[in-house]
Formats: sequence, C-alpha cells, structure tokens
Amino acid sequence: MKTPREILFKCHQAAEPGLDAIRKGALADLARAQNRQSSPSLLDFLRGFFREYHRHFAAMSAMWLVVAFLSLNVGHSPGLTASIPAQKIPSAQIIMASLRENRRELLQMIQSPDSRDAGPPRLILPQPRSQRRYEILTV
Amino acid sequence: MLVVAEREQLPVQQARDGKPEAWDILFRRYQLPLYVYVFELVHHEQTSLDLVQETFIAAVRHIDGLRDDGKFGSWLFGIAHQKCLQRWRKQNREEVLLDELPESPDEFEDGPDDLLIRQEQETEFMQLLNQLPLPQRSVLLLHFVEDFSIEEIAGITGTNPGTVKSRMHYAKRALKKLLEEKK
Repeated sequence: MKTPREILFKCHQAAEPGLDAIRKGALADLARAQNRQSSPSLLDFLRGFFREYHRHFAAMSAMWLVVAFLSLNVGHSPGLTASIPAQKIPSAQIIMASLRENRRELLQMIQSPDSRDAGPPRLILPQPRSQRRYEILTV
Repeated sequence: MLVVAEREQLPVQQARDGKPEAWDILFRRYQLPLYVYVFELVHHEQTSLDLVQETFIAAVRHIDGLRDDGKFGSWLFGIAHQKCLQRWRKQNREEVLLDELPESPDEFEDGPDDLLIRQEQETEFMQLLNQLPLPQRSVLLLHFVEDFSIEEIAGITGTNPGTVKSRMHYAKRALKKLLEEKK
C-alpha cells in the first residue's frame, strides 16, 4: 500500500534531471546577479550619485528653471522692445564708425601737447627709510 | 513518510541573505513537489519545467516579501499557482479554476495518508485524479504533496477556507468512490 504522495513522486521521478538543470541555472543566475551587485557598473554609479544628491540637483534644476523663465520674460518683454523703435536702431556700419571716432578722440586726449612735452615719466625708486623720513621733515 | 515543511529546519534566512548554498537546499527540497503540482494541473512537461523555473526566479527576487519563514513552502506554491493562472489567462482558460460547490460539512480531519492505494491501483489512481475538476484536483494535490492545512491551501489558491474545505471534501469523496468502483 502506498500513499498518494509516494505514487505521485514515483510517477514524476523521470523529471529529476530536468529539474536539476533548472536548479543549477537558477543558482547561476543568482551568482551572476550577485557579481553584478558587487562590481557596480557606471550606470549603477550614476544612479547612486543622483540618488545621493537628488535634493541638490532638484534645487539646481529649480533655480535654472527660474532663471530660464525670467530670461524668457525679459526677452519677450513688450515694454523694453517697444521703447526703442526699429527705425532708431543704428546700423552696424554707423556703430563701427562711431566707435572708430571715439577711439581717435581718446588717442588724441592721451597724446595731448601737455603730455607730449612732459617727456618720459620720472622713475620713482624706493629710498632708504631714513632719507624718506628726512624729506618728510624738511618739507 | 510525509515531511511537513514547517517542522523542517530550512535555511530561509540564509537564502534571504543571498547565500547560494541555502537556495540550493531550498530548491532541492521543493523542485519535485512543485513539478508534481504544476504538471498535474497543466499536463505538459516543458510547460511544467518552465513554470518551476519561473517560480524559482520569482522566489529569489521576492524573498524579502516573505514575512514568516515557516511559511516558505506555502509561499513558494502560491507563486507556482499564480504562474499557472497567468499561463491560463494567456490562453483564456481562466475559468478552469472556478467552480461552484455546495458547502461541505465543517469537520475535516482526514490526513493525506488516509487514502492508501494498492500497487495494482496506482495507474488507476493517477487516471482518476485527472478526471477530477481542476479546482478540486488543485486542493487535493496540495493536500497530498505537502500536507498543507486548509488555511494554507486557501492562501495558495486565493480562495476562502470554506471553499477549500468543500472542494477537498467532494474531491476525496469522488476519488474514494471511483476507487471503490474499480475494485
């Protein structure tokens, strides 16, 4: 006499080699997964990095969004663009000519007659401390 | 002799810690019972092997979800049962595990060994088992293979204990009747 369990197990005994192979495969998968965990890939590193500093990144993103929003608003501000009529904006040639004129005037100022007569600037050499005091006293 | 999973010292905690030796012991312990259960439901060798493999993989993945280490066996069979359901769902055969039976008497004290089969009846037993409707066969197999309690079988099959009791009662009665007729 046998129990139902004994009969059922006896009936399927032939499946044991297939089941052993499955068991070994599952264990190999487990070992592979553990190896992957022990040597983290670049992706794992990045994931960990972003997870660790997620608050900082969120704050920075929020700041950038605010900046982007503000700059967009300024760029499209009707008040600013409307204040300068398109006809009054000088062309590039005029701006360049004006800059050249400014430069010429600046050079003229630098090379003015006073400065040309003055000769080379006097070289000021450091003096000993005792003499300097003397000068101060005599003045 | 029937081995009851809860009385065994199974290295479930070590398996949770990711020790391959512990998983090896657990897989060895349950590979044949799981296969028997799945095969007797699906009746296809390769599908049964695939389902056992999927069960093992899911067990490794979700071991942290197991609260009570003593319930490892019923938890594992629960995964296998769900895998069978998923397979049937794909094949639109979900209704095979649904049935309606009248309530069975409250007392249910029979153990899995109360049904002893003579050697010349072994083949007939297997044939008769397969004649049972799937829901009844499922609870009877869980009872025979692992001696799970009514509550555990209810947990595995996702039904209430009353339904399990009822299915068990009618399945055993039908099996005994069929075996009597064959004498």
